[in-house]
Amino acid sequence: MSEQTTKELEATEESSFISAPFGDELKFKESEFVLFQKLVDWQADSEKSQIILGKPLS
Amino acid sequence: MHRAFASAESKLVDCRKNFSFYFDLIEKELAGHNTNAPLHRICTLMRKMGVEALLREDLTLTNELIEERDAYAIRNGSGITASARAVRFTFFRKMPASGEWRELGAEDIMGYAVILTLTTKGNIHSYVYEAVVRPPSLYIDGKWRTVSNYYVHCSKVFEATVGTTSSQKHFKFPGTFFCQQNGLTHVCAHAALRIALNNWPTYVGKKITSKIINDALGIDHTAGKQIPDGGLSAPEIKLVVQTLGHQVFTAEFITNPGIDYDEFVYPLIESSCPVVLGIVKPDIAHVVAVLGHTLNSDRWAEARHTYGAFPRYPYIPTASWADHFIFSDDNFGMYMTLPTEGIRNLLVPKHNPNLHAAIAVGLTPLAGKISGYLAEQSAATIGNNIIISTVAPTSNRWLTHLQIKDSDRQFINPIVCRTMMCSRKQYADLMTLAEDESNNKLNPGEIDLLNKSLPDRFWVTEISTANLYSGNKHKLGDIITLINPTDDQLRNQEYHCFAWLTGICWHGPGLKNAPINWSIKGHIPLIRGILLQQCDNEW
Repeated sequence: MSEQTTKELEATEESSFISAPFGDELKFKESEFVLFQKLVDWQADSEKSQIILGKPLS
Repeated sequence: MHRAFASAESKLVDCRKNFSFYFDLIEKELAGHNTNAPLHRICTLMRKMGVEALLREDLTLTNELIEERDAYAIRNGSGITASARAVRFTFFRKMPASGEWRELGAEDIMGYAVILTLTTKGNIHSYVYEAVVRPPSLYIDGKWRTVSNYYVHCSKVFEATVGTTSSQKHFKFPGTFFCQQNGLTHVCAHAALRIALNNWPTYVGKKITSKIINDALGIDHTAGKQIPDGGLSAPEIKLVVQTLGHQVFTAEFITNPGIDYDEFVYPLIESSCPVVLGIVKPDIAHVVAVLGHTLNSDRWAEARHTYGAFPRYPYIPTASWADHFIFSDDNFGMYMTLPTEGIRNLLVPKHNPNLHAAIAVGLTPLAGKISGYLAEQSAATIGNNIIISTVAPTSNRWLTHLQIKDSDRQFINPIVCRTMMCSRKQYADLMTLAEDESNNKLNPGEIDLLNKSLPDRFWVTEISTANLYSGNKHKLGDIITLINPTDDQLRNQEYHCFAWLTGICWHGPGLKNAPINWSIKGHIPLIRGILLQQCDNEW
């Protein structure tokens, strides 16, 4: 949708917002992102798991 | 078992009141020391679903059964030969007055089970080689009606044959595939993987046998090439799935007990992707295949969230309303239900004496750095930040509703998140049809924006509230997450490409374009991954 279409929408309809955040304001805070990155790393490590499915853990 | 034929003509058996499944069938047919629980479970399911007739047929061995027999012989030792006997039981909901199975049709078949008995000198193994059974349902008013709130997301239409090569009938019916390990040439991990693959709607290749799995792993049962350690590792399962052209998402809960296994499994199941789940306790380990879930829409999920420990979880996952996973356990049978909280890690795993989830391998058409679980975590953050930071007019009643806080400055209506994998076409088609409670629909420009913004396949996290989700089965917004972002996209948090919530839309990598108005201002139906007629008895 072009910028022009956006303006048309806003001009012809009552707006659903007065102000709304841009993408950067929606992101994780730095401390949250560190935790998220750890989850991403954990998931990648899980792919290499040496657990044998069906064999009791040693 | 499709295109497997009886060696001789058989007659239907009336299995109503005077027939004992245990004494007249199970005890007579199973030999050796294998557990009879899976066959008993199938018979019990048939009884619950109102079986009236069964057909017992001795089968001529197919190539597949001969391969199974020969692998068994090799596994028992060099130069040993084995004999095999296969018996098929096909179950029907009615007993024709004529006793003639040719009068029965597709609506009458309930399922079948093939019992294979393998014998070598001194050894005998008898087990359910394969079975297909309809999802638990009752035939009412001319239609099979599934048990209430019972969602088997991984199921297919199967074909079954009865009769001989000279006189036969083929039936097509919906159901799930099941098989049992023999403990020698295949173990529980093989059974779980076969069940997962053969019931996965995305997988359309030939039926997966234990031989196909073993061949992919170089296991031929000769000395030194037998199943190592009595099971399969996650990388081995991944290798088999990749050989078939698909991918996996894996989570090892032992190394991260903070992850609730059900929140990892649920988005995959909701996406119709089966999950091979490893469960352990000291000295015991087993593998099952998760195929669906039940739903208790009256569950105490919202209260549990509110009364929960500090800090509050930032959202309520819809996994909270899934009270059981529907799974097949080759030791106990089909359509078992596992209380989702029953195998959570409540303690540090290595000290946990209770059965708990150790590892989950979810089958998927596309894998990447972000699983459904991770997509949901990040989407919940985006959703909450939108609610916190947006200033809306009172006419945007749903956003205002989401923004109400209590005296402790906590949201009174915390968001509910439901995540599943979706294709662009599926999503665009659904959004084209979507209409909110005020009859607002998206215009062609908005649909075009969707099509230009979305990748071929992605995670969609639906945003709702507890009451809209459990009562209306509706949502207020969606947040779209890439499945496999580049390292740069991951580092820069640019793995969200589209979001909309109650009349507002964000788009572009990292949602960096200016927010714009969005025609849907109210609630629209959730994406349903299963045909609604399969769960028309929904609460």
